[in-house]
Amino acid sequence: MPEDRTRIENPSAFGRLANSLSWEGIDGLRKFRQGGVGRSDVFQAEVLHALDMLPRQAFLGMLLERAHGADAARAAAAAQVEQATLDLSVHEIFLTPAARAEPSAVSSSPTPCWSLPTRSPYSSSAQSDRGRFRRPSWPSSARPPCCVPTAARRCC
Amino acid sequence: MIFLAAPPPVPISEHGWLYLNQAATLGLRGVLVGVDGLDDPEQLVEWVPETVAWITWPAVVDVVRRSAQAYPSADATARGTVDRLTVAGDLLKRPNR
Repeated sequence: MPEDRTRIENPSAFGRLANSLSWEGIDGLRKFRQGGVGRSDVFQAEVLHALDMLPRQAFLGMLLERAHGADAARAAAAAQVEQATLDLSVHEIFLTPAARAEPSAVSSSPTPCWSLPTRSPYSSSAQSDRGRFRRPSWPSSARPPCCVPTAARRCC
Repeated sequence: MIFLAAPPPVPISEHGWLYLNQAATLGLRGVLVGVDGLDDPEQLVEWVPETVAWITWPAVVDVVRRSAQAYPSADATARGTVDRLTVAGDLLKRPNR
Protein backbone atom coordinates (compact mmCIF):
# COMPACT_ATOMS: atom_id res chain seq x y z
CA MET A 1 0.00 0.00 0.00
CA PRO A 2 1.75 3.20 -1.10
CA GLU A 3 2.02 6.04 1.37
CA ASP A 4 -0.61 8.75 0.83
CA ARG A 5 1.69 11.77 0.76
CA THR A 6 -1.21 14.19 0.35
CA ARG A 7 -2.79 13.26 3.67
CA ILE A 8 -2.33 15.83 6.46
CA GLU A 9 -2.72 14.42 9.96
CA ASN A 10 -2.61 17.86 11.60
CA PRO A 11 -5.22 20.07 9.91
CA SER A 12 -4.33 23.24 11.82
CA ALA A 13 -2.84 26.21 9.97
CA PHE A 14 0.58 25.27 11.31
CA GLY A 15 0.15 21.64 10.30
CA ARG A 16 -0.84 22.71 6.80
CA LEU A 17 2.14 25.06 6.62
CA ALA A 18 4.51 22.34 7.83
CA ASN A 19 3.11 20.02 5.17
CA SER A 20 3.60 22.68 2.52
CA LEU A 21 7.21 23.24 3.61
CA SER A 22 7.86 19.50 3.51
CA TRP A 23 7.59 19.68 -0.29
CA GLU A 24 10.27 22.37 -0.63
CA GLY A 25 13.36 20.23 -0.32
CA ILE A 26 16.60 21.27 1.38
CA ASP A 27 17.36 24.12 -1.01
CA GLY A 28 13.80 25.40 -0.88
CA LEU A 29 13.73 25.41 2.91
CA ARG A 30 16.67 27.82 3.02
CA LYS A 31 14.38 30.48 1.58
CA PHE A 32 12.41 30.44 4.82
CA ARG A 33 15.32 31.36 7.08
CA GLN A 34 14.05 34.88 7.72
CA GLY A 35 10.78 33.48 9.02
CA GLY A 36 9.16 33.17 5.64
CA VAL A 37 9.05 36.90 4.89
CA GLY A 38 7.67 37.36 1.38
CA ARG A 39 6.38 33.78 1.18
CA SER A 40 2.68 33.59 0.44
CA ASP A 41 2.19 30.21 2.11
CA VAL A 42 3.54 31.53 5.43
CA PHE A 43 1.56 34.73 5.08
CA GLN A 44 -1.63 32.84 4.27
CA ALA A 45 -1.24 30.58 7.29
CA GLU A 46 -0.70 33.56 9.59
CA VAL A 47 -3.63 35.58 8.29
CA LEU A 48 -6.11 32.74 7.87
CA HIS A 49 -5.26 31.35 11.31
CA ALA A 50 -6.01 34.79 12.80
CA LEU A 51 -9.28 34.99 10.86
CA ASP A 52 -10.20 31.56 12.19
CA MET A 53 -9.74 32.71 15.79
CA LEU A 54 -11.20 36.22 15.57
CA PRO A 55 -14.93 36.86 16.12
CA ARG A 56 -16.38 35.34 12.98
CA GLN A 57 -19.21 37.69 12.01
CA ALA A 58 -17.13 40.81 12.53
CA PHE A 59 -14.05 39.63 10.64
CA LEU A 60 -14.46 36.60 8.37
CA GLY A 61 -18.08 37.53 7.69
CA MET A 62 -17.04 41.04 6.65
CA LEU A 63 -14.28 39.62 4.47
CA LEU A 64 -16.75 37.39 2.64
CA GLU A 65 -19.00 40.40 2.15
CA ARG A 66 -16.12 42.48 0.76
CA ALA A 67 -15.06 39.82 -1.77
CA HIS A 68 -16.24 39.72 -5.38
CA GLY A 69 -17.91 37.05 -7.53
CA ALA A 70 -19.93 33.92 -6.67
CA ASP A 71 -22.46 36.05 -4.82
CA ALA A 72 -24.78 33.24 -3.73
CA ALA A 73 -21.91 31.06 -2.52
CA ARG A 74 -20.40 33.90 -0.50
CA ALA A 75 -23.78 34.75 1.00
CA ALA A 76 -24.30 31.11 2.00
CA ALA A 77 -20.83 30.97 3.55
CA ALA A 78 -21.36 34.25 5.41
CA ALA A 79 -24.73 33.05 6.75
CA GLN A 80 -23.07 30.12 8.53
CA VAL A 81 -19.72 31.70 9.28
CA GLU A 82 -20.01 31.16 13.04
CA GLN A 83 -20.40 27.40 12.60
CA ALA A 84 -17.90 27.05 9.79
CA THR A 85 -14.69 25.07 10.15
CA LEU A 86 -11.76 26.87 8.60
CA ASP A 87 -9.78 24.01 7.16
CA LEU A 88 -6.48 24.88 5.54
CA SER A 89 -5.57 21.32 4.72
CA VAL A 90 -5.89 19.65 1.37
CA HIS A 91 -8.89 17.55 0.52
CA GLU A 92 -9.29 15.83 -2.79
CA ILE A 93 -12.60 16.55 -4.48
CA PHE A 94 -13.48 13.94 -7.05
CA LEU A 95 -15.43 14.90 -10.14
CA THR A 96 -16.17 11.25 -10.75
CA PRO A 97 -14.68 8.02 -9.41
CA ALA A 98 -12.74 7.80 -12.67
CA ALA A 99 -11.22 11.23 -12.11
CA ARG A 100 -9.28 10.18 -9.00
CA ALA A 101 -5.74 11.52 -9.17
CA GLU A 102 -2.77 9.21 -8.85
CA PRO A 103 -0.29 10.25 -6.15
CA SER A 104 2.34 11.00 -8.78
CA ALA A 105 0.04 13.64 -10.25
CA VAL A 106 -0.55 15.50 -7.02
CA SER A 107 0.77 19.03 -7.01
CA SER A 108 3.90 19.64 -4.97
CA SER A 109 2.34 22.89 -3.85
CA PRO A 110 -0.94 21.75 -2.27
CA THR A 111 -3.84 24.16 -2.28
CA PRO A 112 -5.29 25.17 1.07
CA CYS A 113 -9.06 24.93 1.29
CA TRP A 114 -11.76 26.47 3.32
CA SER A 115 -14.42 23.88 3.80
CA LEU A 116 -17.74 24.39 5.45
CA PRO A 117 -19.13 21.74 7.82
CA THR A 118 -21.98 20.85 5.49
CA ARG A 119 -21.66 18.46 2.59
CA SER A 120 -20.14 19.33 -0.72
CA PRO A 121 -22.37 19.44 -3.81
CA TYR A 122 -20.03 16.85 -5.31
CA SER A 123 -20.13 14.44 -2.36
CA SER A 124 -21.80 11.12 -1.54
CA SER A 125 -24.69 10.48 -3.92
CA ALA A 126 -23.21 12.72 -6.58
CA GLN A 127 -20.00 10.70 -6.51
CA SER A 128 -21.71 7.35 -6.58
CA ASP A 129 -23.51 8.30 -9.74
CA ARG A 130 -20.71 8.00 -12.23
CA GLY A 131 -20.49 10.84 -14.68
CA ARG A 132 -23.33 12.85 -13.20
CA PHE A 133 -23.17 16.06 -11.23
CA ARG A 134 -25.63 17.85 -9.07
CA ARG A 135 -25.90 21.50 -9.87
CA PRO A 136 -24.66 23.59 -6.92
CA SER A 137 -27.48 25.17 -4.97
CA TRP A 138 -25.64 27.44 -2.56
CA PRO A 139 -28.54 28.99 -0.64
CA SER A 140 -30.22 25.64 0.09
CA SER A 141 -29.00 22.42 1.68
CA ALA A 142 -25.95 21.76 -0.50
CA ARG A 143 -23.18 24.22 0.25
CA PRO A 144 -19.82 24.46 -1.45
CA PRO A 145 -16.34 24.11 -0.15
CA CYS A 146 -14.63 27.48 -0.51
CA CYS A 147 -11.19 26.94 -1.94
CA VAL A 148 -8.44 29.44 -1.32
CA PRO A 149 -5.72 28.73 -3.85
CA THR A 150 -2.43 30.55 -3.73
CA ALA A 151 -2.53 32.95 -6.64
CA ALA A 152 1.19 33.56 -6.70
CA ARG A 153 4.17 32.11 -4.94
CA ARG A 154 5.10 35.54 -3.69
CA CYS A 155 2.09 37.47 -2.52
CA CYS A 156 3.48 41.00 -2.91
CA MET B 1 -12.14 32.21 -3.12
CA ILE B 2 -8.88 33.39 -4.58
CA PHE B 3 -6.65 35.82 -2.74
CA LEU B 4 -4.86 38.19 -5.12
CA ALA B 5 -2.15 40.81 -4.76
CA ALA B 6 -4.13 43.18 -7.01
CA PRO B 7 -7.60 43.18 -8.62
CA PRO B 8 -8.10 41.22 -11.87
CA PRO B 9 -7.17 40.89 -14.65
CA VAL B 10 -4.32 38.57 -13.70
CA PRO B 11 -1.35 37.45 -15.80
CA ILE B 12 -1.76 33.88 -17.05
CA SER B 13 1.21 32.15 -18.59
CA GLU B 14 1.08 32.24 -22.41
CA HIS B 15 -2.39 33.85 -22.37
CA GLY B 16 -1.77 37.41 -21.27
CA TRP B 17 -4.04 39.24 -18.82
CA LEU B 18 -7.35 37.53 -18.09
CA TYR B 19 -10.26 37.91 -15.71
CA LEU B 20 -10.63 35.06 -13.23
CA ASN B 21 -13.63 33.42 -14.84
CA GLN B 22 -11.84 33.42 -18.19
CA ALA B 23 -8.71 31.99 -16.60
CA ALA B 24 -10.60 29.31 -14.64
CA THR B 25 -12.56 28.28 -17.71
CA LEU B 26 -9.38 28.06 -19.74
CA GLY B 27 -7.68 25.85 -17.15
CA LEU B 28 -10.76 23.74 -16.45
CA ARG B 29 -11.32 22.89 -20.10
CA GLY B 30 -7.70 21.78 -20.29
CA VAL B 31 -8.13 19.50 -17.27
CA LEU B 32 -11.46 18.05 -18.39
CA VAL B 33 -9.97 16.92 -21.68
CA GLY B 34 -8.13 14.21 -19.72
CA VAL B 35 -11.06 13.10 -17.54
CA ASP B 36 -13.12 10.10 -18.54
CA GLY B 37 -16.70 9.44 -17.48
CA LEU B 38 -18.15 12.94 -17.49
CA ASP B 39 -21.57 13.25 -19.09
CA ASP B 40 -21.34 16.95 -19.70
CA PRO B 41 -18.01 18.61 -18.90
CA GLU B 42 -19.41 21.94 -20.04
CA GLN B 43 -21.67 21.93 -16.95
CA LEU B 44 -18.63 22.53 -14.81
CA VAL B 45 -17.50 25.35 -17.07
CA GLU B 46 -20.95 26.95 -16.78
CA TRP B 47 -20.68 26.89 -12.99
CA VAL B 48 -17.41 28.81 -12.88
CA PRO B 49 -19.07 32.22 -12.32
CA GLU B 50 -21.09 30.73 -9.45
CA THR B 51 -18.07 29.25 -7.72
CA VAL B 52 -15.08 31.58 -8.23
CA ALA B 53 -14.76 34.54 -5.88
CA TRP B 54 -11.80 36.79 -5.19
CA ILE B 55 -10.45 39.39 -2.81
CA THR B 56 -7.14 41.24 -2.68
CA TRP B 57 -4.73 40.99 0.22
CA PRO B 58 -4.83 44.78 0.76
CA ALA B 59 -8.62 44.48 1.05
CA VAL B 60 -8.18 41.72 3.64
CA VAL B 61 -5.91 44.00 5.67
CA ASP B 62 -8.41 46.83 5.35
CA VAL B 63 -11.31 44.63 6.47
CA VAL B 64 -9.34 43.38 9.47
CA ARG B 65 -8.28 46.88 10.49
CA ARG B 66 -11.77 48.36 10.14
CA SER B 67 -13.42 45.43 11.88
CA ALA B 68 -10.97 45.67 14.79
CA GLN B 69 -11.67 49.38 15.19
CA ALA B 70 -15.42 48.82 15.08
CA TYR B 71 -15.50 45.73 17.28
CA PRO B 72 -17.49 46.50 20.42
CA SER B 73 -15.84 45.16 23.55
CA ALA B 74 -15.58 46.91 26.90
CA ASP B 75 -13.74 43.95 28.38
CA ALA B 76 -9.99 44.63 28.40
CA THR B 77 -9.03 40.97 28.03
CA ALA B 78 -11.36 40.38 25.09
CA ARG B 79 -10.20 43.66 23.52
CA GLY B 80 -6.58 42.59 23.95
CA THR B 81 -7.30 39.23 22.32
CA VAL B 82 -8.81 40.90 19.28
CA ASP B 83 -5.93 43.37 19.07
CA ARG B 84 -3.28 40.64 19.28
CA LEU B 85 -4.96 38.46 16.68
CA THR B 86 -5.37 41.34 14.25
CA VAL B 87 -1.62 41.91 14.25
CA ALA B 88 -1.48 39.14 11.63
CA GLY B 89 -3.52 41.35 9.33
CA ASP B 90 -0.83 44.02 9.43
CA LEU B 91 1.92 41.79 8.07
CA LEU B 92 1.48 43.26 4.60
CA LYS B 93 2.74 46.55 5.97
CA ARG B 94 6.17 45.12 6.69
CA PRO B 95 8.99 45.92 4.25
CA ASN B 96 9.64 43.32 1.55
CA ARG B 97 6.20 41.80 1.98
